[in-house]
Amino acid sequence: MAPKPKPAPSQPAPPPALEDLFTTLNRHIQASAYDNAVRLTDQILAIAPGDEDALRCKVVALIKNDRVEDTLSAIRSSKKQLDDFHFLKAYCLYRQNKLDEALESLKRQESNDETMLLECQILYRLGKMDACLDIYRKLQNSKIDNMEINSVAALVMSGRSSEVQGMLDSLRVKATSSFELAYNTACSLIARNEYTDAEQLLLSGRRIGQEVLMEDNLADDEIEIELSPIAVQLAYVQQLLGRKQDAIEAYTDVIKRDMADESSIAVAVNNLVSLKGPKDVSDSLRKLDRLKDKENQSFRLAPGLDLKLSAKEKEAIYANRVLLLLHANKNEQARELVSALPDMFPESVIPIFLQAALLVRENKAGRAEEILAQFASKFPDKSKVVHLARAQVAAAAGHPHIAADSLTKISDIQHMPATVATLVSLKERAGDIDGAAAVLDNATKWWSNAMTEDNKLNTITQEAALFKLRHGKEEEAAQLYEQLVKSQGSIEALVGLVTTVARMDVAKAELYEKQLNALPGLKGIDVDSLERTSGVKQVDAPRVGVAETYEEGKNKTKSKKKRKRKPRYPKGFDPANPGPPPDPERWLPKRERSTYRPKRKDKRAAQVRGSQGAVVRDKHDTGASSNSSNLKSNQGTSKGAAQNAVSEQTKPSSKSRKKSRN
Amino acid sequence: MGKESQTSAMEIDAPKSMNSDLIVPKFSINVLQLLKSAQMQHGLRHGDYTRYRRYCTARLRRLYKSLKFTHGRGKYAKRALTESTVTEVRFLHVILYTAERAWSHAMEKRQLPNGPNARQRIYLIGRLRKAVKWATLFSQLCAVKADSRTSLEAEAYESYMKGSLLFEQDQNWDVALKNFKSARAVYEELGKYGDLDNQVLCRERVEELEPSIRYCLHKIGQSDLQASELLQISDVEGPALDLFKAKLEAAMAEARSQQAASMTEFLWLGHRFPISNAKTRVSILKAQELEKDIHGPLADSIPADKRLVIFDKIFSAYHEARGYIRADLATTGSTESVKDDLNGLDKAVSAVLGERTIDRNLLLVKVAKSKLAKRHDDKNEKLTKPEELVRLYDLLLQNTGDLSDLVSSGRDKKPEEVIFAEVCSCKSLAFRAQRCFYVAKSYSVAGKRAEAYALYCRARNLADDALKKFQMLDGDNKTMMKELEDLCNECRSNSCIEHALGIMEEKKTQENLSERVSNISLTGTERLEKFLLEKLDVYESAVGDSNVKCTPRIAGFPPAFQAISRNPIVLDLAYNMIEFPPIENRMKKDRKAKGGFISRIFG
Repeated sequence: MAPKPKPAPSQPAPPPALEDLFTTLNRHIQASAYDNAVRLTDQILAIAPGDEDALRCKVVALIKNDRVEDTLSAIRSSKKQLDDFHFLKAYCLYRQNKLDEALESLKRQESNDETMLLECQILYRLGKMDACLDIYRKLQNSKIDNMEINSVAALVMSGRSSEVQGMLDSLRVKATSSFELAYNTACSLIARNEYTDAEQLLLSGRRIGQEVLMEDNLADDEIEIELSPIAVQLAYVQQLLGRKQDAIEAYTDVIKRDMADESSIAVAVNNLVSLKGPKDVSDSLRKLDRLKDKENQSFRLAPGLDLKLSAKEKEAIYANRVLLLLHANKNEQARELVSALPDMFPESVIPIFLQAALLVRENKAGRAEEILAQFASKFPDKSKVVHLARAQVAAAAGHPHIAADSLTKISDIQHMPATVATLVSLKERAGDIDGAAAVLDNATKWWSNAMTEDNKLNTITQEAALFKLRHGKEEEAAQLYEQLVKSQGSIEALVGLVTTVARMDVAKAELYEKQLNALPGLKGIDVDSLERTSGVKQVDAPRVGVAETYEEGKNKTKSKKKRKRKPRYPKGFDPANPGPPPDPERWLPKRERSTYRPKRKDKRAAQVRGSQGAVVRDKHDTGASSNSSNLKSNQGTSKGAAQNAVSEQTKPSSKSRKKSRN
Repeated sequence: MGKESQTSAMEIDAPKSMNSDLIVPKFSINVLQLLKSAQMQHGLRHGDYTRYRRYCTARLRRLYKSLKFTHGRGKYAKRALTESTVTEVRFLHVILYTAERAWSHAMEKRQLPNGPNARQRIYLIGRLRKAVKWATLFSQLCAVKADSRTSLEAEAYESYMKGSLLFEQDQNWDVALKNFKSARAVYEELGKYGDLDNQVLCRERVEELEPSIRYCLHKIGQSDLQASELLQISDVEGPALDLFKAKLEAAMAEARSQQAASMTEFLWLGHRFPISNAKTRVSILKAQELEKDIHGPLADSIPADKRLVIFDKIFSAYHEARGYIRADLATTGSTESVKDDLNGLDKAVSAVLGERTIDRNLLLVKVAKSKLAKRHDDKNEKLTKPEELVRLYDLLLQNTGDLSDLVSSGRDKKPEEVIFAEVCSCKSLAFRAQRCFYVAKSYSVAGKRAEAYALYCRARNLADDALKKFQMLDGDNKTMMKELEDLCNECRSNSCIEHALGIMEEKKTQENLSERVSNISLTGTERLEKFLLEKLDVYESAVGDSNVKCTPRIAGFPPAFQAISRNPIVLDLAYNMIEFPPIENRMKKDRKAKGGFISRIFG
């Protein structure tokens, strides 16, 4: 009876104060004034320290106000450990990117839809997409709004873009139901290299987003910020479709306006750098500096970006930075950055490539070849691209031996035609003809034993035959061509065989020649007219004489056939006594006749002097010219008479010749 | 300018005369060098002895005047040159140039047209005798007044002049030989001392004296030189040998005349043609001597250009002979038998001339073929085209046709002539086959496969026909048959190759067309060169051919710039699940409606 009167007097006094405070708190909560709400919860807790409702309101208000640190300290300082606080603590740790602690904290809470959703998000950020997708599949029946957006994102990031359409169909959701879903679906299309469809979907998503956000009465600036991922991704698609100018303009616009989230700006800067390439190196370097951590001396990504970007994206940005430094000849900065990359990305081949590129830039190709060889031996699964890069470096540096050795270590493309051709060229360049022949022989044997339908044996054998021809081994080339003719019977092999054997065994060559088709244009050829030509060129002036000679011969033959009457002889001509025949050299050019004397003419010209004493000089010239005859005076007289007789005889001969020709 | 140099020379010589009066030194004259330069600069380079003689006369006049050694004013007063008179070196020059003037005058007479007549010959010998006189005086004075070298050269000069005189007189060959040998010995010894130019001059002089010595030996009978060797001797050049050449030619002509006296017939195709004209005999004999050089045992050692020169000489000789024959035909009156003989002889000589023309052109073909074969080995040489060989074979065909027509003409056709015509016909067919082969080669080089193939087949048919004809003929045709067999094989081989290449080129043309069509479909897209992994199925080297320097295309290195995709959007759905607890029970009756929470995008 005594305790009852005590609570009755204290009860009427506090209830009016708490009720008023809670009323005010509710008003603040409705107005989203979380600062005021936190202050009111503090007042309430000051009055009633163990009030669970007030404590829970405070924690939620702090989370809503994005004061994650204060939330964690409030949770830790509270004396009462509520059950659902594990979930809230896990959420705060997730926001702080302490993902492992978040998972640990989440396991203390019993499983429900909320905890499963948070677990999905934590796993997504950890990169464990398969576990994330499993939980999403469990949550499919819960009808949580917008969950399909995150599911599509998880599918894209796990490399299962082909399942996106199936999932949307099972959920009975259209890709254009929201701009976020449209964007994520476009990402899946990009991953499947369907750029045109992705572009269409991105354009639709942008239009939908503009309509939806405008209905929500957002400002233009905020709309642009919300839609910046779509703008950047559109530019990326245009870049992949080959419309580089459009992409450059879009990227530049995004960077200049500076109305996008950090991830979008980082992607735009990186892609703009990759588009410009070696051009505008200084400008590209300055743009990349925007992404830099200001506190750090060397180039490191800002902490916020470092959290948001994936490992692949970060690697690309660092690699592009190194390439720009190499193009700008800033080898010191490049060396510093290159030395840090293997620690950041220990499993990737890009750092080793960049290191080799730096060494090549410094004219240390041998050193570059060494480190590439070491990396290939350390990581055998990635050795293919490394061996190819090493071969490229060695070939460019003029080390054909090392290039050939590097190519030989790539076993799966060892005997492909392009590899064989490259190896043969490299060994020939190194002067190793036997090695080149061995490469061709090994390839021939390998393809002989291969059972694939797409057989390259004929191609390799053909090239082996050509190789042996080039190096003076006609017999071996002929054997190879015979193999080709027997196995394949192609025209190339037959042609090669005929041209090779024709130098050694004409009968055999003719035997194979019968298998060839007739030459094109052979039927329309007149061999007789061809034989009369002097060659390929058109007949020049000196050759007209030769042609006329043949024409005269032809005319003579014709005239003989046509003759029906007795031939007319010139006057005084006795056919029984024709006289001396004409000069057999009369149709030759004068300089080609046996009686031509160019020396005499030169000698006479050399002795011509001035006008004075011309008569005496002429007499002396006459003496000099006749000096070669060395005849005495009486002989000279008779010779002169003989010459006159000869000249007199010439006229009747020419007359008779003319008439007979007519 | 000559006068100015002479004036300056005199001024330079003036101080010497003063010194000589005081000291009386030995004079020094480089006789060989002095004469050689004077001869070369004043006409003898071209064999102009008249000009050289006038130069000597003018020089003598200048010397007499400058030495004040003229022979009186008005009336001639002879002044003899004695030891006491020689007070300057130029007095010795006077004697030397007097000798040179006499010698050049003699040489001028030697070079008269149609040779010197009797009176001119007497004058020539007189001039040579006077030259010997002055040379002797020169030698004596040099022995007293000049140094030993000059004295030796003067003795050699004297010996040479004496030898020349005896050479011209056809007397005392042994004395002439002794004189020439003496001169040679002096010049050989002098050639070992002095500066290089002097040594060269002495050696040249020795070479010039050698043929004269050999000729003297021949005359004495101590050597059995042949006419061809005499001809070789006459190849040596030099002004001192002009006299020797004239003498040599006379000797050769004399030898031919003696030999021709015993020759009365010309043998051709087994027939003998009488030669009644002595001049015709000499010409034919000359030609036949030259033919021995071409077809003799020494023919292989003679280079091609020398052989061509010999062919020219052969043609000249035969033309000369034919000229004489036709002159005789013109002068002969009405005697039929003589006319027939001359016509036959003319025909025979013309036929032989045709044969030699064919031989000459075959030599040219041989040279052109070796050049054509050499073309593949050495590209620096001038290129020889197949068309040149075609032209040469055209000449051969024409020559063979002309020869055949010549032999076939005339009234009586002898059996030997018929056989000869058949041989010409076979040769013509062989040349035609060769010509066709080289026409085909010309088309082949130009890339016309069908034409080349057809022509190679035609050439082979012609070669086969010619080979059969040669086999039917009896005679020594093994060389020609061997050539034809080689030609057959070459035609077969080349026709196969042309056929194969033609098929291949046609196939490649079609492939190029289809490739170009496929290239059209890629309009506007630049085809970047692919790397090794992208074209594994094609036999194409990623580093280019072994002898071509190009950028390697094995892999992209350094790595290309990388573009990245924006990540998908992830909404913060867990944020939406966080809600305020219900506190309606803690409030007064006044309550407000709850609002929905705006979804927050968390990237």
